[in-house]
Amino acid sequence: MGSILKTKILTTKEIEFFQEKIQVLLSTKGIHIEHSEVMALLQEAGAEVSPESGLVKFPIPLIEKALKQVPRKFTLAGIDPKYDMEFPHPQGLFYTRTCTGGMFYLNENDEYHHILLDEVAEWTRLIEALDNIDFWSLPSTNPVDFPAETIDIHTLNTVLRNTKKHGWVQPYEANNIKYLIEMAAAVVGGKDELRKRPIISAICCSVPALSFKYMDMNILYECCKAGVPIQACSLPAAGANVPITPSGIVLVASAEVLAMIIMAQLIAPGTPCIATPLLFEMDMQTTVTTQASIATTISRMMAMQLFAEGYDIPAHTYGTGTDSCLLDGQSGFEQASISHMVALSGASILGGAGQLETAKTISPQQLVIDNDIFGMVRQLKRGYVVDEETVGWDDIISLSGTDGFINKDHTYRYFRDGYRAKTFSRDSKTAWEGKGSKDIAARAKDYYLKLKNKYTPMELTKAVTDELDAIVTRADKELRKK
Amino acid sequence: MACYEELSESVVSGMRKKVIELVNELIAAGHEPMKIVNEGLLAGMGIVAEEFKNGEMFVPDVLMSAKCMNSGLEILKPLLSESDMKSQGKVIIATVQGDLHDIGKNLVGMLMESGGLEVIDLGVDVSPEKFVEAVKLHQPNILGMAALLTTTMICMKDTIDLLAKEGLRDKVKVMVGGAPLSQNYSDSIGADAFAPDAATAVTLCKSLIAQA
Repeated sequence: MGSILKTKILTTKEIEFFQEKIQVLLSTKGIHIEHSEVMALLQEAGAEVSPESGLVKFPIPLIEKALKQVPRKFTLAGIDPKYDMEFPHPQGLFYTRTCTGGMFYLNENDEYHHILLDEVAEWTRLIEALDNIDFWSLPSTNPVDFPAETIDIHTLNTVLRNTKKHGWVQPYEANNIKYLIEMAAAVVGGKDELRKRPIISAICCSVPALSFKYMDMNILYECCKAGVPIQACSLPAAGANVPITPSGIVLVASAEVLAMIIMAQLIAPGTPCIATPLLFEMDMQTTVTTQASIATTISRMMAMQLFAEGYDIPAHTYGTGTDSCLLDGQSGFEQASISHMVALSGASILGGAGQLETAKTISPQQLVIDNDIFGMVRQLKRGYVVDEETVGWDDIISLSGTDGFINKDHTYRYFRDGYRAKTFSRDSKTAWEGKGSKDIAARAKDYYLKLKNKYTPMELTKAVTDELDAIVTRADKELRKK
Repeated sequence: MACYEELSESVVSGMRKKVIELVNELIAAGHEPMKIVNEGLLAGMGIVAEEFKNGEMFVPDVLMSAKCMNSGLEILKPLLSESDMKSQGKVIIATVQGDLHDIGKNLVGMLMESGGLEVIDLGVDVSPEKFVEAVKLHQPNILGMAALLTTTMICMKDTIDLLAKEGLRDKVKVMVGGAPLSQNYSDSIGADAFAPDAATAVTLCKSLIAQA
């Protein structure tokens, strides 16, 4: 049995400080939302709602009641049950997710362009082949040969034909969520089945600070009605639309995330929710939004610990990523730094795999490397048990002075415990030169090409593919604006 | 005794009270108001622009210096004629239809104003028709459009096409910006310039205005 490794950045008093301030924000300052049905439901549930301004305040007893209703045990289902993700993680580890919303693709030949549907298919097949990537999220595809209004629907249509894993959908328009839910239901055999086994979860976002637009309220509303789990997301940029300090961004983001979780419980008690503060920082020299500074890592650690310890709600944030535009030393350092610290701070999900350039670009080589990084970080997170068995006491106490350990049973029992990365080199220089003196990007490319040759096609029934096609055709017709 | 150099240094250092004090001293000593503006306040902002471009100053520094400059200008405004107060150019900015992201756009607006440009901010979710209406009304030098989503950036071309249809395309320079954009995309839709970040947006604007 392993001993799970943890890093605590917040003291108990600091967790309580955040909780108290969040309570004050939600009960006295309030939030602004746009969605008349949600407002009516919240008012009926006991929130103070001003329909004209959209101001909503949550009395403290209502907050406490809602938080009690948040399910602490649930499953995000895979299309194939072998990919089910149980929360809390049965071994105390974490799940992993690919980058969402990236609009550029850097392929293995260093070609860089807006993502195309063929590449979405390719990307999804790669996700399927990687053992340490647990679920997918939708890239932001370039609308070639289909309407821009249905990018998410076409993208999901492609993804569902190439994976059996769970996925995280990000609708781009208010009404698109209904079609996305329909498509997921088509794959599992209907909306009742989707409620029992939700093969998708959905992101709904705040607009910092403390404001929620119609589109995201509609996502929340439709998902609550359908029993689709919510990954309640805040995407602030420190110094731009929230305070620049780690504690400041955490407070605002956590209040926004908690507001969505509370609303979900008031609309449909028992809706599975994952707290998903995805924190960024504005670079004060270039004005570019960044995600890999140490200050941002500190913020994420705080947010993960706050939700995990303070609220006992699964927490999810970027668990890898870089501001570098290419696979280089900077990207390596940033990915290591972020993945280690976020995993050890109590995150249930490490997101953002396969990204470069602050999540704007996805790269199959990077995804393959991230797969290895997650494998290593899982090993780290497991910690290590120290006892007579693991130290090899029997062998040590009976050492004769000329023993080797290479052929001992103890070595045989334990040598496979460590994660063996496919893209990292541990060769001698001679051997490394003999293999072509390749760097990690080149080794990742080789491994990726090897995986590509072994892809097994997914098989959806004709009835399902027909239904998916029909939904997409209808969406194109109904959602196209001109 | 106050001097222009001390005034410009105070602008650079973001010392608002000192700027106000020095401006008042210079006025009391009989200095020409326009000279105080040009050789004190704007000279300071010129240094700020240079240091920012060289990576020696940061955006909050620039904004603080701009606040100081404006505090000085407020005192001098009643003493200046309307022609003296002419801006370096007029810019309309907005986020395109269907897009609610505005952080970058707001920052561009602030930096443009700090740089002496007159900025008309139409907000977010602005339709091509609204852009064209604003161009007709305000007759800007530059129309700046921002988008953060691949789904919404297509509205930029719609706006450019509508400007052409209304006979306005050659009356205004179009600059675009936002995370999903690139120089290639900007060129493909017929924009005049692509700004990869807020600081470049200001430099590009001034360059386009100077060329016109």
